[in-house]
Amino acid sequence: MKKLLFIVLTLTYSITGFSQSFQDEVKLMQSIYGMDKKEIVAEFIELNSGQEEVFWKLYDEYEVKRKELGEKRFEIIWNYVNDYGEIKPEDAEMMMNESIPLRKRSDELVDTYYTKIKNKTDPVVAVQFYQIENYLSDLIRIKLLEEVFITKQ
Amino acid sequence: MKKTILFIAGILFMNVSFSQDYSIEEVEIVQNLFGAEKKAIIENNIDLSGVDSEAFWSIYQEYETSRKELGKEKIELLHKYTSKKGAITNAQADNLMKVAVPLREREDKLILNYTKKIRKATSSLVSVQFYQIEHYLSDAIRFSVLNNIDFIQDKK
Repeated sequence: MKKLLFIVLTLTYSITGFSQSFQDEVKLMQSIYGMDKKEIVAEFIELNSGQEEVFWKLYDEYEVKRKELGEKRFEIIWNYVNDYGEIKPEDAEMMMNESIPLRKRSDELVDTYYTKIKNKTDPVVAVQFYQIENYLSDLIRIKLLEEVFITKQ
Repeated sequence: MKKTILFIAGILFMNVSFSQDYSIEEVEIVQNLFGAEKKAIIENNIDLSGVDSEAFWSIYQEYETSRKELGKEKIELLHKYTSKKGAITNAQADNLMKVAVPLREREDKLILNYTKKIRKATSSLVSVQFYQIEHYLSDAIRFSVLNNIDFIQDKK
């Protein structure tokens, strides 16, 4: 519990700077988490000394792929949502055609690395990976959609 | 920006009130987080002008019936595995994922099926708004539950 609480506190603190940090994922993450993503993951996942090297090798590999998808998510929002948070009716169909496969690919990526991590470390480490990744990505998704919906009003 | 602040305040508030109560239901989580019932949130965020709103609400009710069952399962699962004090074994971790992944897939499929139904009955724009707000609420619920209970820690 204590490990997660700081994220929420940082989040409240950083709220005024949000619109500037909305431009790309790295900035948004930094402003929400207040620290590097990898540091959060390192604090959260319980590795024994024999697992560290193999875990971080897989994690770095995962992060490269995840970042590409993360950038794509921002691109979609920037391409289809205007300054007032509105989506043009004629763009709605195209936006969905890009958003749906992207969500699927993000989920599949976490699932694939869950399995890889499980095979190279153990099931508990793999579940911890799955949980912290979902937790952190939920937060990004929530903040992105809040921008869209709030400005829409 | 006003709503974001409410949302964050909701999370902080729940840190206090929610951690003592593991039997909280999804309806209450939404109420606590957003200070409104889910239907009111939908009304505020989906623009039904110019489309068949009756058709929308009838499909939405049907969707909600199926979704509520999944929502209940999801919260039970999160509590079952995260509120346990102490250790988790490798076998338990495996069992958790055997339930958690299909549950997530069922929920995604449900939202997607109804996005298509709503698009046919109303418009592409309405269906995008539906898709976004449903995922938003689902992410927010999962996030708030994870934020308020212990994650899996301490290996056996």
